[in-house]
Amino acid sequence: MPAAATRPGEGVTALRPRPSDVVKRVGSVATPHFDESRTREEFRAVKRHMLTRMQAGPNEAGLDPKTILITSASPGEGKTTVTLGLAMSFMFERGCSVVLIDADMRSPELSRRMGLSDEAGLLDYLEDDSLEIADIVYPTSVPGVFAVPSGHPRIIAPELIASERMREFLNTLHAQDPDRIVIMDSGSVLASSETISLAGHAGQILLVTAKGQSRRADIDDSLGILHRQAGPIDESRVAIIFNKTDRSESPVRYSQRQ
Amino acid sequence: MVGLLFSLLFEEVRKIWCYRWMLAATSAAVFAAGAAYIVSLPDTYESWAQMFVPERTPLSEATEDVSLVNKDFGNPYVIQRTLLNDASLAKIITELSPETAPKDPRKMESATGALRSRIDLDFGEDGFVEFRVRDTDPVRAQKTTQLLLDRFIAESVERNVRDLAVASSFLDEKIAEYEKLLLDSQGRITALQNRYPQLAMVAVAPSPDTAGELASARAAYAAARSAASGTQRPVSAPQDQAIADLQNRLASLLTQYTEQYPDVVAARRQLAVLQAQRAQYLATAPAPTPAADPAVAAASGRLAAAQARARSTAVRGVPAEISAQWAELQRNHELLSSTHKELIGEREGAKIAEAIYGSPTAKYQVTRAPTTPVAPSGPNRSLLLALAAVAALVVGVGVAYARAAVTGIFVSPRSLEETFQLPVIGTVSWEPAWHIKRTKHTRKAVGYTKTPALPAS
Repeated sequence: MPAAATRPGEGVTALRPRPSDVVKRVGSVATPHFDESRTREEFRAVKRHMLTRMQAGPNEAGLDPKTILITSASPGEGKTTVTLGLAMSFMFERGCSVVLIDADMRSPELSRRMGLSDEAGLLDYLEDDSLEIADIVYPTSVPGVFAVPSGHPRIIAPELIASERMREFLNTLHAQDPDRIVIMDSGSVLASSETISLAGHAGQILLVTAKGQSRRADIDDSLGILHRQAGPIDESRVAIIFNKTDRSESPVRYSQRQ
Repeated sequence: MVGLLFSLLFEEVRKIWCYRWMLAATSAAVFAAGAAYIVSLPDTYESWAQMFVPERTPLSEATEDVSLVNKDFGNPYVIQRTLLNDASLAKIITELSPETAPKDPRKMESATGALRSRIDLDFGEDGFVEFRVRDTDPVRAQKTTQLLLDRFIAESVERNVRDLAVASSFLDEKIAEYEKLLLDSQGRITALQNRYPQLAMVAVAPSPDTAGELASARAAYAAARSAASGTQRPVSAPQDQAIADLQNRLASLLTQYTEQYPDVVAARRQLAVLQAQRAQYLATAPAPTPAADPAVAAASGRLAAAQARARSTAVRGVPAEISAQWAELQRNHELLSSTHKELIGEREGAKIAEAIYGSPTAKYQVTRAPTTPVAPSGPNRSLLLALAAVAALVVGVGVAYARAAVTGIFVSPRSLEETFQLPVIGTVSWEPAWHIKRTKHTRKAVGYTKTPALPAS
């Protein structure tokens, strides 16, 4: 008999193998109140681009394009929103599973939104060799979408992220399912040093910029840092998403429902 | 091209829109400061007066030919240029408030400059002059206008009197000089008459032109004679008239017939005969005498008349050079007397002009005396506030634009792509739903599912 439904974040304590019927609850993102979501279509457009890159296979550096890093130049530009939106968009792809990793150690917004702030997560796994991947991967209310919270904060978080165990973790996720897509929601490049380490594992980097908010100098510095420390940054690996635009500026057009 | 410009312009507008709150705050602050200043401005009162300065007055018209000056005298042009100089304005400031008038030259200069900026003089071409003075104190505005009016009239009259006095003084000097010269001339005439008493018997003084007239008549007669004696041919022949008639008839025939026509042939034959006769006549006729020439006859007549006049004026028993000297003295005396009379006439004209232009009422009529204004004439607060609002908006837009430019924000995917040469693969509209507060209603959207965890690695 499956365990009773619990409120988000409740019922899972930590670092032990779980019963298979433990329910992990992820608060779904509030969607607009119309059927055909403009935002959904916009994410579809982004998804199409990323899927096209995935079909091209690993790049010259051997990085898997199915490992996606979502970052920004500065905090507050909408990385977590874009991460969740992309995940929900990938949900519609048949045979596709998505693992969302909250790699923003300074502001684990993704974990909070999903109600997994107090759960064992990535940092716990990286530090404790006794933990297994299954201990930190949580299902969500969206079929095919799994979540890895950030875990309990640690001072040595940047070092843990940069460790070999992180690479093995990502490789294992892909090995379990070749069609699996791993999306890492990291901190901003200028505020988090872990992002640089994570960029070294990502085959695709999505730079989130916000209209009227992102500064040219910050973006420039961010791209420079990524290029110098995480490998060549070019249009085959890095793409930009323009967030917080007005509806009137959306390329998606809708007609009024009759 | 136009579309590109519009899109670029629209992009700049969107950048400014991103800082709309900064724009609003800046505009509000600037407008508030401007409005406070405008409201605090003191009311301004304007007092004005009008005067009529005609070019011609009845008096100047009546004395036009005897007055020294013409219609342009008394033109207020010079006055308008000097009325607002520092000296005049300093006097006005001192007269307005003797106790508080600045003593320091620098302060006085500053005060005169401030006063000058509040005065408007309008010299219309129709003769009307308007004086306008603006001041925060209506009484002071009226007093200043009155002082300006009085000063204008006083300086105009003073200038006229001064100029005419200078002219009168000059004329007096000249008259005195000529009286002295006349006395000298009369003395010399008397001395010559005393030496040659027969000169005194000449009732009429010899004409100063007698000798000159005689000389010119002689020269004209000699020239006419030489011209007449130089020509050797007679003026006309008896056949001239017949030849002229025949030539006219021939010309008339040629308009109708050819040269072979019998009448034309006959006319030509007859003309040749007449011309031959004329030539023969001219060759054998005697040359006319110079006296027969009409020009010579006229010159001769003129010479005879001149000689007769010279004989009548010559004084018997007096050497020629004395006669000449006597004639010259008489001539000079008459000249001096004539000039003296003219100067006396001018002097009288100057006195008449002094009477005309030395009186303030003769030319300057105050048509409107200055009054103390009751209602303020300015400042136009509504207009100033509107201008302040526009200026505040402009400043706000400028600040917002500068902020956007300094910050280097982006408002379109195109600019991002152009700047970083990286593809912008999508835009995400600003969905309020992403950021609304989680209410009971939205919590219901949370689904409870039982999903197995990932298989252990």
